Amino acid sequence: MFGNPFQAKVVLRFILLLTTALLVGEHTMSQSRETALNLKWEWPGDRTPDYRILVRVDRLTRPDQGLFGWKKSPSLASALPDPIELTGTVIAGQQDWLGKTITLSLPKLELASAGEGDRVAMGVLIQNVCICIAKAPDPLPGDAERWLASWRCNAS
Amino acid sequence: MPTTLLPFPSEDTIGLVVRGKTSPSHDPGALEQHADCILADGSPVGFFGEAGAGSSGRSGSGSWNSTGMNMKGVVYDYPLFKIHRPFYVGMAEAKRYSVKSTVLVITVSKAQALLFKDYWNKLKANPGSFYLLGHNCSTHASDAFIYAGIITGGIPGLDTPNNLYKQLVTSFTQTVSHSGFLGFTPKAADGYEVAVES
Repeated sequence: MFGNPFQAKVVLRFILLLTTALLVGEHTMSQSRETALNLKWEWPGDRTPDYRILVRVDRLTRPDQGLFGWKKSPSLASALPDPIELTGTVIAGQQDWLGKTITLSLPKLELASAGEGDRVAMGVLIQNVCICIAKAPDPLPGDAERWLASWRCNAS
Repeated sequence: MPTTLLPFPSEDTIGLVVRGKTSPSHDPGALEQHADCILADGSPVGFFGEAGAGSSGRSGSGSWNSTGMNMKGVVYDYPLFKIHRPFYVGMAEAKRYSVKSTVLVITVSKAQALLFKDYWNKLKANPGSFYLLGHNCSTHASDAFIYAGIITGGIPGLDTPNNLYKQLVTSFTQTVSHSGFLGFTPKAADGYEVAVES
């Protein structure tokens, strides 16, 4: 296949480099998967949240829409109108989630004016489904936990 | 804006809803439309694809699933629409999200209306697979019309909600189209009141 030993050496080095890069990438991804809590967005219907959390918005990104945008098809249950991917840190509420990173894909309309660096309150079901979200006032009127308890999950 | 109350609930009226179709003459893009149906009692029903392999035993179903093929099919009724697509059943939410639909109201026989409902009940119990191309929301809406003996052939061309709409419009004289923001309101007795604000 490789008449020239130099060619064979170059190809071998390339393969080794590629394998290392893939292994490092996979390791990094699995680490982030371990720490991030992935929430799913649904509208509340007639449900009320099981718990409330206060989250600092660290990053807002546009999710991948697939080749030719096929993931946008409204016939897909997971398709959300004008979606945005929120990555944040839990700073109050559910005690065993404090300090954890959460990710949530949701309609941008529901996020309203909240941006990176802002704090948002979320109403969450025990199945890790977020059913309501609202930008928290800055500064919070008093203690964060007390404010969260009084926050009305104005679910549509 | 004028609001039209559609003739639901009834015994001999059913409907096709094309989401994203803003007027009878509008041709929405293939990935901008979705088909739902309205049963004679006014209840909305529709077929969707969700994550997870639709049928087991097929090799490579995971990779197909990530391209919109061999997904798990699911039938939404009013309660499921409320948590997954509230802008498809609530007029206020439809306005908030700027989601317009076109409803094709079709007069059929009482027996056909019952068969139409029977198809959706059976599909709900056993939804099978969803394929974005060829086995999607409009395919099942079309199958419901065929099962009820309302039309005899499948959708001409690609299985899209708009192609099904055009097929039904040309197949019947007793159809009326309404476009705008659509809302379903449960009635105290059985069924739903269906209204469109243009």
